[in-house]
Amino acid sequence: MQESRSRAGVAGKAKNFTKFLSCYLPGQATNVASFDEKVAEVANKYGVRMFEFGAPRAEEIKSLLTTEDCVHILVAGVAGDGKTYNLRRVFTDLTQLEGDILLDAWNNAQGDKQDPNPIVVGVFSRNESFKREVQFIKDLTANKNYLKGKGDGDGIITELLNPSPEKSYVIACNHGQLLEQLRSINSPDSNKLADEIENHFFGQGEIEGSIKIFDLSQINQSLVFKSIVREVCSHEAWNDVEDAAVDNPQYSMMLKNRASMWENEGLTKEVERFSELLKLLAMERVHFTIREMLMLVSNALLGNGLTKDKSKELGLKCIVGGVYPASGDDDSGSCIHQNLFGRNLTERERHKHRIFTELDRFQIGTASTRGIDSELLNLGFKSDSKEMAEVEEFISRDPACAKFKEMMRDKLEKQGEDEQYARNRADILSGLEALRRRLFLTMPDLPNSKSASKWCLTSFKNAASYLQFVSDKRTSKRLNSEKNLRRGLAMFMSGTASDSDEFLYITTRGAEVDERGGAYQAAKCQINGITIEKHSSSMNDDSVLPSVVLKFPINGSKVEFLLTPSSYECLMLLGEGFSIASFSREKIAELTSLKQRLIAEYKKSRTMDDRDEGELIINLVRNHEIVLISE
Amino acid sequence: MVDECIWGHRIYDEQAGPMVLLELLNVMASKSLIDFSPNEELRYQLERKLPLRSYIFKNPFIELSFEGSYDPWEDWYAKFMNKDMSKLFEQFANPTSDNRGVDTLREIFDGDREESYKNFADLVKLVKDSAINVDSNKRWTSKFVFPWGRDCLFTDMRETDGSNDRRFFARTGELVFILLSRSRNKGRLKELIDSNYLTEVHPLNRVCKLFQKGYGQSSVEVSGARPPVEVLYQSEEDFGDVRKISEEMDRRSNLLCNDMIAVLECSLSAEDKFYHLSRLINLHVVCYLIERSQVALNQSERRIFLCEIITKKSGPLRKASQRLFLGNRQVTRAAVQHYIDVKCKEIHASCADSKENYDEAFRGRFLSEFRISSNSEFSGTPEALCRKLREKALERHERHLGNVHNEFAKAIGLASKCGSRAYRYTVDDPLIMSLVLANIHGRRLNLNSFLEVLFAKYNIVIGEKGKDYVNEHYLDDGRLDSSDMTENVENFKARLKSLGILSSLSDGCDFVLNPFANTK
Repeated sequence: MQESRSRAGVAGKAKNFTKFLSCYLPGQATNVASFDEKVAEVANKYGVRMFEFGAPRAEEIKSLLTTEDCVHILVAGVAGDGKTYNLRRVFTDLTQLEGDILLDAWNNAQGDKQDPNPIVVGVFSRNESFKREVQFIKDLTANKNYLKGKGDGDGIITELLNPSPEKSYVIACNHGQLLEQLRSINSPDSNKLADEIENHFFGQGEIEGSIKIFDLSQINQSLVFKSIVREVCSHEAWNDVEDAAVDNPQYSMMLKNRASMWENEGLTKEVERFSELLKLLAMERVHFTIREMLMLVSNALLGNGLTKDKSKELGLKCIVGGVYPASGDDDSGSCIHQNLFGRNLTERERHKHRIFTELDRFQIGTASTRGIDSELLNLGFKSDSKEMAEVEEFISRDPACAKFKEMMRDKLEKQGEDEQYARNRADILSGLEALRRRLFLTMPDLPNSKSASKWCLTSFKNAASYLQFVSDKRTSKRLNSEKNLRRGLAMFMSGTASDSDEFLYITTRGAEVDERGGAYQAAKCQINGITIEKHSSSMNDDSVLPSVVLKFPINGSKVEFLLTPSSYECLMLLGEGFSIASFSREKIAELTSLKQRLIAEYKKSRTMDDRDEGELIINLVRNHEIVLISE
Repeated sequence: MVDECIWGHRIYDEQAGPMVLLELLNVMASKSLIDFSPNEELRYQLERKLPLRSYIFKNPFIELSFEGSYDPWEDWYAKFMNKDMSKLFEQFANPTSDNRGVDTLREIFDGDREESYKNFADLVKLVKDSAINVDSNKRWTSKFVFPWGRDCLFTDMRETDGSNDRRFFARTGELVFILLSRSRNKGRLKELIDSNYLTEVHPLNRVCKLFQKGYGQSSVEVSGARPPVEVLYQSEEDFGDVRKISEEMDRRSNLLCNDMIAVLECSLSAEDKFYHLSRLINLHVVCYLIERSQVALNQSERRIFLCEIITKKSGPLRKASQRLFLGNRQVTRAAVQHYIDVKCKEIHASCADSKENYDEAFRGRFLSEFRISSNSEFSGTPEALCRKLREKALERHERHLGNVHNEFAKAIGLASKCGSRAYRYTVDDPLIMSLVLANIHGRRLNLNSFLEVLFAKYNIVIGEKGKDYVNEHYLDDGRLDSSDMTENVENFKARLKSLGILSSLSDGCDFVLNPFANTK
């Protein structure tokens, strides 16, 4: 009797934890996870400890508040970045409140509809003689006149601009709201501050004075993702889930998913690889909030196509999607390889979430190489390379691959009988796509291989060398693929595949720089090779972007070009002989702007050179120099 | 002469696109913008540059290789200088030496016969490749070398008599010159135009100059362009506020001038600024056209360009935009009609007390007011005269000025009928880029502020700003709501993003970037 009650208790706890985790799932109509306070309420309701993701910014903020003489702190970010979370941590630590007292103190500072005033005040003493009042403004958006005030200078802008040691403000705000409120004050000081803050947001300069700003949208998102996985997967409630799985096989699917992300108290290969995608996106300035990444993780853990019919038992509301024939390694249907890309959702559902559409940039599932596909489809092409043999061996051992091949054979054999050609073809293709996604996350890591690297299964085929270069801590280093990069640049600038490290020829048809390739050589830039330098940034090391630097020896000037992962990929592919027309207009515009800057710099350097005197030289592309007599 | 009274000049629809800027550059090469007074008649000279234009555009023989020829220069020249060309050269080329053209060319190019001819042929092809109208089916005298410098500029010419033809240089460039002469910053503009397009140092300008070597100046005197009149009506009820008209014109002149300055100050090469300038000038001409029509109609509402960022789906915004497009198109016609009616009334009022024969007096005043010659076909009763004028003016209007709004808008990417049968306003990618260059003076501007600027300067409505105005003044039924505009702004953001000129920080905090801003 007692044993059955305790088992029921365990099942209840497991169910509560699952319900709590499902609050973060995509498509939650109630959106309980939207506000920090709500999360706490929900956690209380289910009796589950809230996730603690660590708040490195909170430590920095606390340290500033306790050491600086005069300081005001602005915490900016997108909704879901954890602004309130960071503030609450600082508030807790400074006031040392605990449990319900903290929650009440924090939640009671809501104001009302007429006068929203979400301020909470904490008092901090450094020593007996020093007492500082710290006002936390949980959301600047709640009161549009907060900085400006309603009149008679009662806004806090005066205090922000004239700091005192007795009082500090810690303000959570989104970027636009902060700038808008500052500009609405329209005084020279507030405008200056707004300009400084705006520049800071764009990584151009610091803010003078006692105001410190933390932009949470510039956090290292691959690290944050890993810390979220770590926190969620190591939650103590998983013990209850493990116990409950004895009676309810549905929990074992959750456990399988968890095992694909968290193994032996460490992150799995899949998580590491997936975080590389997030890192590349961060370098493309695609930022995801903590809330979005939590959604991703909860979807990976709970979103299992096979559990659809049983979802109600677990209290899971949003589990939809089809069953992928090659998605799992056994019958439990564990499929984080698909869930991480949102493939357990319907297409419509998936497109509602930016994080999934941004991940589509990598085209994982549709991109592949002949070698890998040959092995997956039994096409019989055999590669001689050792690396490929390793991949082939992996594929031959992988149960999901075997399952897919079996399914394919079956479909192909039945094709003549039931004449369901289109449906069979669609099944095979979707299975193949799912397998490629799985392979990207699981196949052997061969970063230096050109045909068997995991990046061959994405549209960023050169990402391995890029990441390798970026992660090198040296500030200036020669890139392994520099020759190819030079050739790519030359292809864009003149349509010819030169990899000279002394000259970069730039041609136009005479009239428009926009013309790629052309008859007339507008510039013959003498360059000191191409060096790659790290771009200065207020972000952490992981998101430092390299720049291609082209130096002009005549006047020592230089032109820099920010090398984002996609720019790098574009140049590398151009160097390999891809047509310029196969790239997006955005990339072409970027490179055209570089071309323009190079021509402008070349013209400047030419004014220091007197070669124009006397005769007129026109250079045509086919190494054809036309010399005309002077006028 | 009704068009001239309202808009200063008749405006031809065929001059859409870069031809306005090209005509303007020709005027500026001959006449100083600073010294010109906006109230005087514009007189200037246009160059014919027959040798240059004929080598480039009337020279199919340059494609022949003359392989194995003893002297390719002579073989080419024999074909090129045929009877017709020789006659043209005789009349309009003005040779300054006894040398034949081919001998001068041979002197210019270094190297042996074969090699030097090849060089010449390559250069002709290069200059031709970059030319304006080169791929069109326009006659060869209406094709133009790209304006690398003042030696590349010449007039649209009639082949038969060498006169300046008014088909593609239809005076809109002159009108723009007169407008610019009213602007405050014309000095700076002149400086920038001179350094970008009227310089002599560009290598390809020097090439064009060399093609003219051995021939003197051969120019056409141009006159007749007058500034737009500031007082349209004398009668009390229709008396336009003179000051307002003048202010309105000055405002447009200053906006145009400042836009041109902003583009010219961008860190782009002169070649790349050309089409941006051209688009913006065309846009301001369309605005001017509509504003003057409003003055003629004595109306004060702003005419709006409600732009749909092209999507597959049709919605209320597209319908409203199509409606506004049609309305704006008809406003010029209404202006012509109204102007004639009011003027006829004025003449009637002034002749009513005349001691002479009323009909005679009316006809006299009528001919002088509308600048019609006395031996023209205009005769009959006052009513018949007015009717005839209305018919003729509207017939002419339908052929040219009535199409200007459409043609200019289409040419610059402000109008499209993509996915529908009727034209509507839109902004295509090149126009977006031109607007960015002209209006973002620093590195970036908040998206909302950018949309406000577009509304304030060009009456372009894309987002919420201006929506209420449209609803209030133009849409009785099928009003636009915020969701229509929000969706449109989202599409606009997607366009900006694909052009690489949008940076989003957090919800509602988007910045439009100008990658070519000159921040020094």
